Amino acid sequence: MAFMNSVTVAGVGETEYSKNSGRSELQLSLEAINKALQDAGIDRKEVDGLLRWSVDTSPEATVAANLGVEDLAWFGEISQAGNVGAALVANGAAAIHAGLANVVVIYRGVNGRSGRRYGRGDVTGRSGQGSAAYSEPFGLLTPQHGLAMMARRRMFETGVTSAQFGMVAVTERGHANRNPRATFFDTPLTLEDHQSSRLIVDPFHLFDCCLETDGGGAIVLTSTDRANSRPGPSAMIRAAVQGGYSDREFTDTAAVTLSPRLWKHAKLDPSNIDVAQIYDHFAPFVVFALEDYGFVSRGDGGEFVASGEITWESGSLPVNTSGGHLSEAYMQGMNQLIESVRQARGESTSQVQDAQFSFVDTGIGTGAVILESGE
Amino acid sequence: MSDYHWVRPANLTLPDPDENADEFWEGLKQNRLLLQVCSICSKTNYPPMVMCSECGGFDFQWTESEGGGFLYSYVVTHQPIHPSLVDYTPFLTVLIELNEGPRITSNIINIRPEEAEIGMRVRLELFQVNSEITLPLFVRESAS
Repeated sequence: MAFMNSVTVAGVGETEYSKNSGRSELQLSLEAINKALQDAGIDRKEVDGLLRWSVDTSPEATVAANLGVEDLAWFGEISQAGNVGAALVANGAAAIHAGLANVVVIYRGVNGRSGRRYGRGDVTGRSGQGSAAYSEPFGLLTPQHGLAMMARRRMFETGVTSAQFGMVAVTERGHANRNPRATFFDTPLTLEDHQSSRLIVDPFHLFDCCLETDGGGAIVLTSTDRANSRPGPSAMIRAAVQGGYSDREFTDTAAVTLSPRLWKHAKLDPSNIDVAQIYDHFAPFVVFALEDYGFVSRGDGGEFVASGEITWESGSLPVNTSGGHLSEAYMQGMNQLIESVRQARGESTSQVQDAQFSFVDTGIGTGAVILESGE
Repeated sequence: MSDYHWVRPANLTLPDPDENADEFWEGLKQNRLLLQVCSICSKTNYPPMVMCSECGGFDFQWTESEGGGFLYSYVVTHQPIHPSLVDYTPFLTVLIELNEGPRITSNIINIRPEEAEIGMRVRLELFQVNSEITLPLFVRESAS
């Protein structure tokens, strides 16, 4: 099997999350990388791998020059959008597993609120070119438009309701209220608040939608042998997979085709997972991911959420324990990767006791990682 | 029946089609919705493809859709999250399943957003934006 704990996430780092960072995206990344390397106990000059989202604006060579890297041996971007965090982990772990790099840093620095805003099509609009010629002229202008179209049909097919989606948002807010780093740490949310919030793109209410955030985050990968010099529990990569396209039904997420590979490589099944971070660009997709990864059967996700099963600490599968993209920060999966590491190490503000297997999806089937807690 | 008539936002994005779909956009200018059909295996594509994903062929024919279908899914944009939508919300966008099988993103021009209902029958109504661009839109079929 691919990695099976041969590679470890040795360090994590992040800046504060805000609406106006007051500094460049490059600086946000570098601050986060410094923290992650300090956490890992690895010198900046020893970094020999750098990976980023293709939508990130800080080139690898620029980051390397600022870090004082001596010899950059592995680098690159993965295209698409915010959804490639786990794919980057798979890529970096593969390089280390193959002996092509020793210390790989994955970074994301973004002024997603004070700079270019996703919700307005600033980043994603394609001026009617390519496949957008068949969607944008009719008003499907941002990612949420296409996702709302899918969500509407899936509501029709499975009977899942807006109120059940609302319980995703309410649950995550409860987790954020325990996390001082979260944007909504001080602000509670009720189901009534969700249901009475204005419609953005029906069926999405305001509180179904992720935040727009300024911030930086980074994680450091290295061999498990090397990472073991760091004291305390570790976050070993049990499995990491990516998926960029799949031939599937309109109402399926890509998790339908990705999850069999994930469980096979991990030699696990959904019942083994203790805690999950799931890409919540929009709350309904947490329900869909729970179903399409096989945590519950198709059509049962809404009730699973509404009955408290994803709530820390009483639920059987606490989800988005830092508050997620809805209530902590929208760092395009980076903050969820970091939270999955915290859970594996026992460091979360909503820590699942004795969590052995920590799951993170970074795009509803475009990539997933399972971390195993090690000593 | 509704006498409502939808107004297309004046500055909403227009298609900037690539060369692989010239027949499609030319067909619309001649008031025909053309679907791409593989010359070898007869698989029907929308939007047009460069290569047939079924059989690997590069030769296609074009067949005119008869224009019937039903509402498969829909969204209503309430927040004018794009500058072109200011003054035009709430704004209905639909996914129509054509009787020939493919699904096509479009607008229904004779209903209000709150009248949208999955399963409702629709038929094609071409909408000329300018001398270069005609779009395939739809109307709700009368109940009769």
